[in-house]
Amino acid sequence: MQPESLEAPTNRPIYSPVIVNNKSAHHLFICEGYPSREFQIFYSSVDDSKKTLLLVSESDSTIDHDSILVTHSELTAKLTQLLGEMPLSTTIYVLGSEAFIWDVHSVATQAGMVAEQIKMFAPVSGQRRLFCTHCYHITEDVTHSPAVCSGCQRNLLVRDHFSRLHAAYVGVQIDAEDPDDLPLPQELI
Amino acid sequence: MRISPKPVQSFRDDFTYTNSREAISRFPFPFVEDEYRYSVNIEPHAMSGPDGSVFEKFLDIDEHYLSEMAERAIVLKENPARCLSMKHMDLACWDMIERVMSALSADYPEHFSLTKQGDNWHWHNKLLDIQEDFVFGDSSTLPMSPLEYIGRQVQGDFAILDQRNADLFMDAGIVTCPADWSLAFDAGMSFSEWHGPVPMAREEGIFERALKYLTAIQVGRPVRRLNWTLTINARMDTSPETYPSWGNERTSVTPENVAEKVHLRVEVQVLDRMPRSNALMFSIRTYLISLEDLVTNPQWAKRMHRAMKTLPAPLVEYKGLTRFHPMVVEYLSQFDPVN
Repeated sequence: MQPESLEAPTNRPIYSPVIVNNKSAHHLFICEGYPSREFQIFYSSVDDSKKTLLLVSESDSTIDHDSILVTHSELTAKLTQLLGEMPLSTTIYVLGSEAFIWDVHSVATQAGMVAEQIKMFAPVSGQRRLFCTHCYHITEDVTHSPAVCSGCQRNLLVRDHFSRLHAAYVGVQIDAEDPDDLPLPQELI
Repeated sequence: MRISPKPVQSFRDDFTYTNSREAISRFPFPFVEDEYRYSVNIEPHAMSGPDGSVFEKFLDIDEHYLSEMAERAIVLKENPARCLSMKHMDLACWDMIERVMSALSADYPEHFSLTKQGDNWHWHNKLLDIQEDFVFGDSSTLPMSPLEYIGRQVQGDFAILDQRNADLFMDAGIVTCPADWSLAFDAGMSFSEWHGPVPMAREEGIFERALKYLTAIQVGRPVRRLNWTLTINARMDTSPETYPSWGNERTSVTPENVAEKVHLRVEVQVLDRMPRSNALMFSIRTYLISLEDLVTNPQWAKRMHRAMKTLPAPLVEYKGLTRFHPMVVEYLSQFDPVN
């Protein structure tokens, strides 16, 4: 018998509630897709002269705010440029999918920011990026386990093992030992 | 007495790997008590260790040297990404060159020699017939990256851990015989991140204590610990990368072949502070022994039975033993007088 308190092994990031860092000289808000109402209220709470809004979207939707709009592929260059121009004590607030917010984290730390300057809202969806340990391909927007690898087509078990660098969970072939033993996909939470 | 390297044997396909009687007698048997449990089992890797033991020298070069180097070359040819180094780790990799070349030439002068004139070094590896003139610290004077160059000449996997913010980061490594972990995926992870999949230990506070201990390691005071699992066939490369090609071997164990197929896989893990970079060199040296060879030592056979019998279910699962663990316990029970 194992103790009931035994938790499944995981290193999933934990997202604490985000509050405005009043000591910052500037506040950079980054949002993937259209900002949620909650995010808009949060954004409104900061003095206009000390904030910038960066929206990342593939569609050219009109935005009410005085914001900068880029596509995902333009994000790295734009964010690096903005951070180069902003005060050293800037704080980032980022909302989006889990892969997105950790991509932002990587770009920001590359640009010299420390983890404490990057405030992450809890991911807006349960979708995960998956890293295949067999062919190293990335499969985006995974919602179920097992999931099919977009690179080698193997059936991958999605493990709760997260890499901040890859902004991805690890996938390992689930039916390698017995090809007849393939469980039905279950939704990831 | 040390063992001379013998001709190349294989860790794949026909699995010609064998242990001599001497290699069996010096096998680093990991179980120190009858009931298996987790512990921070770290101890000084003090030199010289007991004569002839795998702990006698800082790096153990044994009869499998040529076989393991041949196996590493195969793996790197199949997948060059099994050796990775982030840009800021160059100095640490040169630290490793110095540490390994100095230790091997001092401990095994019949096989390795190192001569220095300032930064102009000459290295001679007589076992692999390699001679190199290079400038210490200048990576352009080696035929490949410093980490790959030295990694191809020393047994065991190596991870180079960068130390910053009171934490350790997996920022470089050459890993061709891992027990089911991927350097490519774990690259850049902190200590607690790469241990994410390990069950039970988190609740027991093991990682916090281990990290405190490891970040405090001083230059010249290496430490070691043993880790173990069971491997089917004498397969060195039990990586997640290649798991689709060997996973089915776990279903090949029968009561008739269990003693021959199942191998106890022991890692002697050594952590050593690098003087220039302040990185930790983490060497993971793997030893394999079939149950058949292991039970030639009656004490080991008895203790192995008890350790396997009391192994907690989450560990059976985590170590990938589920399919054949009962057969191992059953086989070993014949050597335990309690049964």
